[in-house]
Amino acid sequence: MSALVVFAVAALASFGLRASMVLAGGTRLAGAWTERLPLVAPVMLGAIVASSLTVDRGQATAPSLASLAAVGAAAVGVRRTGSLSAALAIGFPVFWVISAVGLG
Amino acid sequence: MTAIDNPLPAAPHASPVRAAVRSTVPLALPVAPFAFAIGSSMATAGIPLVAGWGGGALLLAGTAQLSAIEVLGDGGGLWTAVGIATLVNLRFVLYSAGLRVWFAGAPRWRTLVFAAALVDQTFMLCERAFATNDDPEWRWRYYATVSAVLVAVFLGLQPLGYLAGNVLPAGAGLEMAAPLVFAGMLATAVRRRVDLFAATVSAVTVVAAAPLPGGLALPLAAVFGLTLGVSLEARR
Repeated sequence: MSALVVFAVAALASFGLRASMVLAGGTRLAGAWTERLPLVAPVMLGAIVASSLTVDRGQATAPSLASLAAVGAAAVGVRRTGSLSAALAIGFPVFWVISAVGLG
Repeated sequence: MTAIDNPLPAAPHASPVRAAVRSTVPLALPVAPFAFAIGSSMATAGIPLVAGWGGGALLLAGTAQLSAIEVLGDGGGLWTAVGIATLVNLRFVLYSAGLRVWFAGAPRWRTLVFAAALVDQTFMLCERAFATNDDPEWRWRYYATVSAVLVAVFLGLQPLGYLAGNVLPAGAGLEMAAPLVFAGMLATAVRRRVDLFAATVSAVTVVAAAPLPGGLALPLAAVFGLTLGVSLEARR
């Protein structure tokens, strides 16, 4: 149930963000945010990718070659195709092949 | 849900429902693997389907949902998960400005109801479509249809991902679904050198700070990455 509580509280906060300009009005706030917002996605995604590959229950661990190669291939695939589906379509086979040959 | 390419704008006099469906389907397809990744991540993180899926229905933001699942799965604190999900959703402030402009003159309560379903794709589609159509009724119908299609795909596929996560063997590597999707999103989010710099700073920080208690590593990484990124931008 704690997961549901997390999502519910996050949903409330997110609704506040979604409704913020409707309630507050004006575009001055949006202008200030515009300068910093482009950095938010790279920062959060960089941290999350690194964390999901190298952190296990609060301890830093060395990522497997298969997972590193899969993530790299997924990034290149999406960058080249422009489609998020490529992340799974390319990343999973790379992961499976490298794991299967014993390098994972 | 995620940011992807813009489709062509809707014709000014097309039926709003038909125009919305035609525009949304290409954008809804990439949502499918994302929803699947969320479902399988819920399973591997040990989050019950009802809690994860119900929470997803409340949150309606895939990146934030997946981020919170990752934090919870790594044993992070509840407030850390909430904080990360909220940080990830900061971009909604900008989208909110769009709502205000599109539906100026409409009852505020109605705009607020529609704000609940505001996601990346809704914003992108409406921004294009509304540039050629300022009829309020057309806009509302278009917005509602886009939201309905996206929500149906997004929520409809999460249980399938969850079931796959529970049925497939551990060697299938379904725990990789989330990092793969995030890596793909990172590849599209990094457009400038400063983006790459900030992402690298946050990645290094989160690993270095992993032993800190209470799931502090991610918030710390966010603060470091944003602060140093903004500093670098200011210097240039």
